[in-house]
Amino acid sequence: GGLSLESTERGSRSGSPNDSAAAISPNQQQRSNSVPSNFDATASYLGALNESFLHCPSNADSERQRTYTPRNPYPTPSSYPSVPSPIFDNPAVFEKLGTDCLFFIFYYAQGTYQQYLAARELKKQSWRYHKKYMTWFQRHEEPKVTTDEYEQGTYVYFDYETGWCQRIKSDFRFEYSFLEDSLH
Amino acid sequence: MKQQVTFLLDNWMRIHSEAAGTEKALQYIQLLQQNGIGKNEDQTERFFRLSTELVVEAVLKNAVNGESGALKELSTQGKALNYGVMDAYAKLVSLLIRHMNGGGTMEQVATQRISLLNKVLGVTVRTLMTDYEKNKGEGHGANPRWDQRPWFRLLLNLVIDLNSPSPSLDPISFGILSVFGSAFHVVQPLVVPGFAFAWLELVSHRMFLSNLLLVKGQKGWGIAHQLLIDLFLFLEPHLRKIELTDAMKHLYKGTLRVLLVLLHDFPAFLAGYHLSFCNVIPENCVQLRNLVLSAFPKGMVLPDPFTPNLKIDLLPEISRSPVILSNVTGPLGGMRVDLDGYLKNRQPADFVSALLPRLYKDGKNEIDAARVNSLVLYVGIQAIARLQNTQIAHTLAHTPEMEILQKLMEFDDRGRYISLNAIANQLRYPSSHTHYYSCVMLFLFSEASDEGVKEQVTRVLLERLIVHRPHPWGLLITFIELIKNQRYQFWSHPFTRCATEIEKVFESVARSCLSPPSHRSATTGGGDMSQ
Repeated sequence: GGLSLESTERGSRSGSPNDSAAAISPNQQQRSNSVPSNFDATASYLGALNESFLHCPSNADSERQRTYTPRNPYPTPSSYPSVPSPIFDNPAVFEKLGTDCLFFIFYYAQGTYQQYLAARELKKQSWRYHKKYMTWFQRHEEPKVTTDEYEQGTYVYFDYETGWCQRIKSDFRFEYSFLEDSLH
Repeated sequence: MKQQVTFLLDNWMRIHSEAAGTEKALQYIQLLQQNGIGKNEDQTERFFRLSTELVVEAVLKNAVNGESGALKELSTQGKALNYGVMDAYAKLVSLLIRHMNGGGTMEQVATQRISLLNKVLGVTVRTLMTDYEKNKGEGHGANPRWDQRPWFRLLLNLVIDLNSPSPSLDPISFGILSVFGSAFHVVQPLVVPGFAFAWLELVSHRMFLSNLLLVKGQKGWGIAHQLLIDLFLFLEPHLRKIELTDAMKHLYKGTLRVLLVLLHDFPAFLAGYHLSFCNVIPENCVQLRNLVLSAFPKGMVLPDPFTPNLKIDLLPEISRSPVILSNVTGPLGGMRVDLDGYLKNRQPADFVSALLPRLYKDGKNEIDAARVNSLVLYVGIQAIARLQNTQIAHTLAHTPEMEILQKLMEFDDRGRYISLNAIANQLRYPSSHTHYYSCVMLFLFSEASDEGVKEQVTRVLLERLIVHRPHPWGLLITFIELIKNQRYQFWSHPFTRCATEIEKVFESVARSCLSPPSHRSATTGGGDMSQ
């Protein structure tokens, strides 16, 4: 029961629909023989096409099903939303979120599309991720020293561990080998 | 067996909902494989057939429960099916294929994966066709029984899963695409018309069509060509008749969109197969054909056809032949030997006088347009080879090629119309062909003693220009030359003034052709398709 796609060119209209189906299997050969060779019987095609149109696939039919499994389920009032709003799949929304919110998503929604979008937005706003400290830095001023390996100066960084706030760090050396640059 | 499959599937649904893609899921796959699924022919076939039947049934049962029978609307908009079961099943199938490993070299494993996919898709389309036959016609019209959507969802899931980048499948990506191509070819609209809309959606899906056309070395182009031909063959008899049902109009609109995408992203594909596409697009579908004929290879810059004193003879491109991927000589059949003989040394001598009857379909009083199209192109290719390095316009006459083309003008109106269309199909982007056929068209006009020929030449050119864009470059060039060059005495012919409406059309076309507005881009193809 394998399939075969005729590679023969169909320059002339005489080849087709009957020939094309014939190679498939005895079962379908029978079926294709019933295809009228002249198109007087277009009515049956039009009827069938109409049925196809009635059940025409819409966008919803090709979209992936959203299945949401809460990671740590807890009984909440039924009036609260039970699944995340689809708005968080839209990259445009991330431009409107505040920096704190982007940091929250980045540190809380690990390994999700939302984490990616948050990181991308932070990058757009000139934050740079330090792979060793797992921390976001932003230049506070032009770096005092710049070499091929690192730059040094005063930075703002987001302290996610102790204070959940932005702090200033002077005389910090940002080694480029720790700069995350795979994300665009 | 059915009970067993139900049990297996139920188990899978549970595992899938808890932990898709984890250790447990993989263990389950191994268990299935140990039971012969994917290895034992009959076992595998039966498992996939029964599973498909079960999940399609489950999806439809869900939908029926959700509707209140009497108020059921005919439109399916907003009536979403619940695809949970289907998606889980599709996942199982793609995991089975990904982890298929019957031992052996890497190449052998790759072949095993392809052949398992071939088996799964074979079972799927056969089950689809059986199901369609079973439900066809029951409750005709008002309550159509057959719903293409579960099948669409299943195939779409597999297309997406198996064509996404992944280390295990990347080396066999072309094999996967061709197996899908074969499956789609089997359930083409002429065979399962009730699946037509889902089919077009699948065939034109970005994970399928674009991937297929992007395969290195244009290996996927033949398959894509075949599927588009399938589509045109289904549309053809209906487009030929002027009355179109709503459903047909929508399918046509979808086809236009697919072609626009192809014209924008893969113009060389459309251009390469223009001959065979034009064979299956009816003559009255001017815009559809213009889309194909406007395509030109990316990177080429076409000179503005409205440039005053544009000399086509001086363009460097006109020494280059266009790439023709369609089979030119196939439709000529048995004629080819005599044709070659005549072009070479005018033997057999009666070839031209006996030509016209040979262009009819066997045993029918109907002209074989594909044969005429091939004849015209083949003759032109030979003529260009002959005329190389000479001034074409002066040496067209009295060649065996021109005798053949002129003979075509002795057809009745219908035959001449087909022949002139075959010539106009070659008026495309700047190339040796466009140049040659442009000269031929003008030559036929000026040499015709019959006013009817001149009128028909004008008709064929004009009707391709009064439709919306895009317009092929060569067509514009030829028409502008015809109305501008004094030697053709275009305006002295009575058919330009036969009716006020026609006169107005001529005036407006002439105005737009002869005095170019500053912001005009009349030819569109390749990268400029902003409408």
